[in-house]
Amino acid sequence: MKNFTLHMQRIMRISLVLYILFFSCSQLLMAEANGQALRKPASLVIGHQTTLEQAIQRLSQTAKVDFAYDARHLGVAGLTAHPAAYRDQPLEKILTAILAGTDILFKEEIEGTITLYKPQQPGRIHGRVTDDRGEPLAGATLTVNTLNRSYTTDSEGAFSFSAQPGVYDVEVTYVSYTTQRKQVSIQSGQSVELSFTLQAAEGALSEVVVVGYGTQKKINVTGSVAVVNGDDLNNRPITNASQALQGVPGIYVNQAGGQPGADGATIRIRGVGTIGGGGKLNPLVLVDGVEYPLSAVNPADIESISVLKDAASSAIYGSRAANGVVLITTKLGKRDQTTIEYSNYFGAQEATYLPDAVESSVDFMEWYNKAMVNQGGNPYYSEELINEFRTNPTSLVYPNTNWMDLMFGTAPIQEHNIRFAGGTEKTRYNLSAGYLGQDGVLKGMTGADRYSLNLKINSELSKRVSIEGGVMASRWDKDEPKAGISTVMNRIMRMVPIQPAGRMEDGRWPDSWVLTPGQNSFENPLIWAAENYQKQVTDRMLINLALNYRIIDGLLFNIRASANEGRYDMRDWNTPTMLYNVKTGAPTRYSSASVATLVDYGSKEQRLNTTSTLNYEKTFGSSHNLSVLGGFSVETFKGSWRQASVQGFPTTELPELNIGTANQATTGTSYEDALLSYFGRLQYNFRNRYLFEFNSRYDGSSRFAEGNRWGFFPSLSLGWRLSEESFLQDATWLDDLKLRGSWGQIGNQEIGRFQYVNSVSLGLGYPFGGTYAPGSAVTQSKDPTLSWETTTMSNLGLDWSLFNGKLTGEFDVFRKRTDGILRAVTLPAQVGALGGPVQNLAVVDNSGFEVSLSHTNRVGDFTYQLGAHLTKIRNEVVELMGEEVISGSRITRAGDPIESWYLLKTDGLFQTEEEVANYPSITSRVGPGDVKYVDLNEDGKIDGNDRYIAGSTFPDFTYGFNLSGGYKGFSLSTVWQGVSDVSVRLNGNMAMPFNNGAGLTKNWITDSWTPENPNALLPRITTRHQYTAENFSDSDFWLYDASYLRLKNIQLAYTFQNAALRKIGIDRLQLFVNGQNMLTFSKMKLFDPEQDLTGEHIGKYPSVKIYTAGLTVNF
Amino acid sequence: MNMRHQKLSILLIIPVCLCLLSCESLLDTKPTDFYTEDSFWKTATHAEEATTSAYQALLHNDLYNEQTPFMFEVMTPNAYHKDNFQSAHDFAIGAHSATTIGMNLVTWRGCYRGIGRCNMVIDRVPAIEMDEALKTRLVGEAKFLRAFYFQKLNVLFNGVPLVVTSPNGADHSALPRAAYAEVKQQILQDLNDAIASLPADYPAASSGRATKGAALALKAQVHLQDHEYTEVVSAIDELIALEKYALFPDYNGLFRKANEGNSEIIFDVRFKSPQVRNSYDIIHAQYNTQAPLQELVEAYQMKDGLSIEESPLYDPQNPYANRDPRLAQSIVYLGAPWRNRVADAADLHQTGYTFRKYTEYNETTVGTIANSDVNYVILRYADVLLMYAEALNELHGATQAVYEAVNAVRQRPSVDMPALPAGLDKDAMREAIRLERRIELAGEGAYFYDIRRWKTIEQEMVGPVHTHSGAVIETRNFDPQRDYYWPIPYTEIDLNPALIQNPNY
Repeated sequence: MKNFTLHMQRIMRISLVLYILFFSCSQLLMAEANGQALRKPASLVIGHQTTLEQAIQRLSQTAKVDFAYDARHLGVAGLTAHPAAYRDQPLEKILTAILAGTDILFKEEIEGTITLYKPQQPGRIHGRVTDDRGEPLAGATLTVNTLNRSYTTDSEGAFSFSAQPGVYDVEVTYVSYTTQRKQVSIQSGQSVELSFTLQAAEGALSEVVVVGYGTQKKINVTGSVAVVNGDDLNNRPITNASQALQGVPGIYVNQAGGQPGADGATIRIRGVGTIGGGGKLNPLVLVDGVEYPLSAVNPADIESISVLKDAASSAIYGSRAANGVVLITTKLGKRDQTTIEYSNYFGAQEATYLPDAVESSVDFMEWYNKAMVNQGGNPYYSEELINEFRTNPTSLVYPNTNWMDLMFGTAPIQEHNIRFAGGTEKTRYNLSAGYLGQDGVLKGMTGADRYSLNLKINSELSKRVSIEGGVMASRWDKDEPKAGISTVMNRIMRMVPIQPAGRMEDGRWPDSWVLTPGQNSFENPLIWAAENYQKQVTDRMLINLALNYRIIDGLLFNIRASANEGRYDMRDWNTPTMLYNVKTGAPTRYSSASVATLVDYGSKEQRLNTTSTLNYEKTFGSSHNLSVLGGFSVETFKGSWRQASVQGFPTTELPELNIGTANQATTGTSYEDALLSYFGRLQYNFRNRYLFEFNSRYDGSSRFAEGNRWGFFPSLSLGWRLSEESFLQDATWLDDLKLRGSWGQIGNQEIGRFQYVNSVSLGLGYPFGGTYAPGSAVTQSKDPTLSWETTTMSNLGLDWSLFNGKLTGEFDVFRKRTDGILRAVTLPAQVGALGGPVQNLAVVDNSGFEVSLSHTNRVGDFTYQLGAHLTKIRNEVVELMGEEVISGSRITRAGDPIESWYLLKTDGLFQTEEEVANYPSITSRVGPGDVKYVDLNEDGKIDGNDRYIAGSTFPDFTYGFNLSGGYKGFSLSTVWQGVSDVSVRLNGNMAMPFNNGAGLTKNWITDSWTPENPNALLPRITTRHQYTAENFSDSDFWLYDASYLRLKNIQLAYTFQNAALRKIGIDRLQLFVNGQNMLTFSKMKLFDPEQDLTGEHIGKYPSVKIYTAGLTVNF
Repeated sequence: MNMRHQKLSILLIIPVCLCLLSCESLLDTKPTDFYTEDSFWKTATHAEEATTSAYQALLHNDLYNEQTPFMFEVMTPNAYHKDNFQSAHDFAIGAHSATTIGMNLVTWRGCYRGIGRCNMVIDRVPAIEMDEALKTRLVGEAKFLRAFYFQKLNVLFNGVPLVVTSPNGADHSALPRAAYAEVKQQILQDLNDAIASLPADYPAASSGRATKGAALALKAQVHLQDHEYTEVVSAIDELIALEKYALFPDYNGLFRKANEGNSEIIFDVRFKSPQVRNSYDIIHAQYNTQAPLQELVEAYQMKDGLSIEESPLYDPQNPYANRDPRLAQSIVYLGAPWRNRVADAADLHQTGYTFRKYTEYNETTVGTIANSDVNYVILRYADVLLMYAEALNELHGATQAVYEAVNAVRQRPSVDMPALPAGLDKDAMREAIRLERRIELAGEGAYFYDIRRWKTIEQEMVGPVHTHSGAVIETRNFDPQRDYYWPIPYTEIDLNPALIQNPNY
């Protein structure tokens, strides 16, 4: 009966949820039956020996109704019915008569079924929660899982609630204390006292952390592992899971720009360990044990993230671990509990920084003329023209266009997540779905939608065998401008105020009637937004199935098979748009393209992996704890892409490949990789005091030639928990103190495929007789002996926890050296202009320290947490075979950090002709107001030989704070992120005046040098041009300090948890407001300091502030 | 239940263990989109593909795509470049130095790319079992191309590393520069081999390949460069005797795609959209980065055969009227019909001019701009006739043969200029031929080599140059002690210290 009632309750609860969420017609399920069966006429004859139960059974047969009851609970045994005969009487009447004299009641709860029950008085459970000193704990949470309810203790630590008779598990949780669970049995009408005395937890060190191929108690971890708890990410508008790593000590997370669908952050764990780009520098990311891209993970599905930073923890991933490993565990329901959680937020985004462009056409033309005169030329715009603009009001013919205002604006964002999670004794599950919809602040061209689904199940089939599996799927729909974002951003930064925005009255697009020098045509970005598009769709799916078999106690076999599939489709539609002279209406030229082109691109990839492990754990005696893990993994990767494009469209109404008639072109290819690995781990500890761990991996990769393809990556680590030693036993304030040290080697195989094969490339054809004939040639010299890059890393760390976990911290020093860095040797061009062979050449060092401190406390109802962390990294190229790799204004050479800024040194501005005459000058035109370059090598000339290392593209220091507090239902949390000792050199359109036909920012009008303004920040105005080396050579004058401290996130939330809510089926309701990137402290004002630091122009998608408000509701 | 699961688990373990033994072959991935050197050089198809790639090196941005070929015109008094693409502007104004990287590097690299591919063909094709006639021809084509690439380098740098075997880092990385004469000897030897092995023409499907005529024309050019006039004349006599070439009647039309492979073309760089496009249309229509200078426009005669100073037909108010018809066919000026409208100052934003030659659109068609596939002409019969005239005049003075050659060029139907006045002496004829070359080959990059050969560059590339309105757009300079040869790219010297820089850099 009790179970039945509970069951009904659950049905009702769930249907209420469905009702609220989906406005469905689920009333059917929850409606009270209207008692039809009870009104049914029935006949029944009861003899002298008829038991009550027999009578009911007969009634059930004759009246054709079902009865539901628990005979034992009702206590019907031995009860008889009074002899009587009933003919065609309502069932209700018959039942009332035969049950007279018993305390059994009846009702028709479900139509057609009559439930028999005994009335029960609810019982009451009350008690107190105290700590081990007897102090009351206010605000502790009691959870009654079977009732799916929770309660909170009052200021005296007391609680009291009523419950139907039955047996319940009551669990008490409280910050910094261990969870306690008790079983209680209540009889009808009984009041039971239940008290809890909680033990202080051993702080954060009681946590279990996810490590490679398993979990480990944090107190026993000897490597360097940082953990992010999924709860810390709640409600934050994290649009890409990579942003979730912001604030993790030792990790540099840089989110350059806020383009929807393309705002993933760059993650560098312990510096830049190798020379090269992109994939070669990224950490390995595993989701539930399988390699999977972060961008495809819904942050709301993350239970925890472990970042394996040193070789000791990452060596078990061998050849892909050189840049660190990020392990993501997704959520799974809890035993004996059902949760439905729905959360959402709605918000707005706006650009953090946009260049403050001159929007007055008169100012623009006058300053252009000044620049021309300053550089020895003639004014370009006539006084008459400038006056025409000055005297006419703003119009399409006389525009004063502010392109930043026009192109950028506030954009909405919203996210919805729903999660069904729970479990029984043996099975746990999670089913969740999410939607993120984000428009771009660049209007009309950008935006993205993400749809995600995560299903995960874990079930014990028997005592020895369990299975787990899941499907994770996501889709990104992303809008880009045609030809991609960088092209359009560059165009926007090139627009000038004299160019007309908008359409002419008849809908045609205007062309500027005033020429802009440096621009061949007016490539109006509004046209790109209106007439063209690029649509991108990315699908990802991860299918994951594992089986655990406990062969004997302590010996566990696990096999996991997974498929990770990805597909990407892109369609780019580019149509010609004719412009018309805004004054005369005559057709002038095409805005950009002169012919319609459709490009259709598709790629797909598939990663299959089988991993098997055998794990043995045993404690010998009471002191020797041993754990051994062995395993192997087979991984194959296949990918392909294809592209088709066509022109010759009879109409732009029909953008399909089969409509175009001219210049059909197709291309594509496929590729594959394989990785075979054997790995193992040996852990031993003596009384949890002396810890020893050995990890290793033996990897075979298809990226290398036979004979060089196997690499061995070992690591060794030791730990000493001083707090377990007798001499520290008296220090009761000390929960834990551990010293740990590690050494290990890890590899990197990201060098592209077949670098070891002497190849003859195709695609070098030539049209003979009007027909394209295939051509082939050797285009690159190869070195078949190349092999792994090896990173050797040592780490020394100290972990501590004081005062019951109130003060915790970690300190690590590390040294990381990457040997045999794969680099293409440059051959002199006389060797057939061949690309040089990739060889194991360079050596790079990274060394530094990380420190993090955390303080958690409670004062009455007020709880707070303060966290701070700081990382210092020094990067140095140790060996580059005498090469100096200069890319633009950056250099990579031995003795300096990778990609350092390599620029001329400057010493302010020339003030007088005399000063100019006494200095070596860079061109013959240098005059007062121009930049003064320092002749560093004192050879009397200013040239490339005077360059020096002027700054770094990677911050020396990264730091952050997490400050949060809570009072009763309120909580406020902040995440601060900072970097320092890093520079960025901004160049190009808008960063420098009149670059390539672009405009200028207002600070040139107020802050550039004139004889009247000799203390100006900027030199006298000239156009940034090939011949204006006097001011715009690559120099430190234009190197900006990109250090910043940023309030990455601030969140204020209020949580309702009370009886009134529970009456309508809601366990918990949280309302919150959230702000992303709200405050930034930086010297850099021209553009957002958190940007791609090696990207030298500001024509990039701006970073965004996001304001959101939303709710989380649990049923 | 229990037992069944356990059995199932064991069944799963077995295949896993079996895989351990067989998986290693997974690592033997095979390339699917390129040959390996082990599988190449086996068949006639391979030989043809390799030879094709030696032509393909011409299409690279380093040589005949993008703005690169036009930069040679920018480095003459004929045109101006607003930016500094490949440092061509620095070279034009004499501001280049030992550390200048641009035209010198791309030409060096582009030619050695071609040489490397020719060397592979010349090295490897002879060992392939295939049709002998085809084999001989392919090797001949490679030798022609090798000579072409080396000639470019030898003239521009004055002696370069002589690499004649398949590219190999160990063998070739440290080779020093060979003497000019040594390189020249190799060029002539290759050309003689090519002349002997190449056909005079091809079936239509193979047009665009190097011919005997092309090798002869190039040989004439090699000798003309060093003023070896007798050899020039004999090579051209041999070429004429092939009876394969004639001036194409339509001067502007001879550059057009529709007339690909016309009777005047001896060797050209071929393009074909969509596989191999060039940027010529957009460069001339939009970028205007190779903008003709007033100096070139003024050099065009009036249609009476007199200069603008001498002719009564010249009207400064209407300067483009009554001019040598090649002006309107080669150059777009303000007010000229162009792309189905009239060219305005916004179009011709640099000097008031752009080139019409090497564009696919014309007076009445707008053109697609993006799909330009006009061929770039390297050797044509008019050029050969003018070389012939130049050599004959230097040898024998203004003979009838000289007049015939020059007048043939001046009087093709679409040009129809008056014949040169009779009775010119050798010096006057020399001047007439030089002007004729400048006009006939305007915009084709030939003048760059001509003024060096004639040494007139020392005057022509010194002083200001002008836009259509007469405004000075820049001032040029030329150092005769240094600038006849380009600096070896210093980046190449860094990689191969055996390369010695040219004097005075």
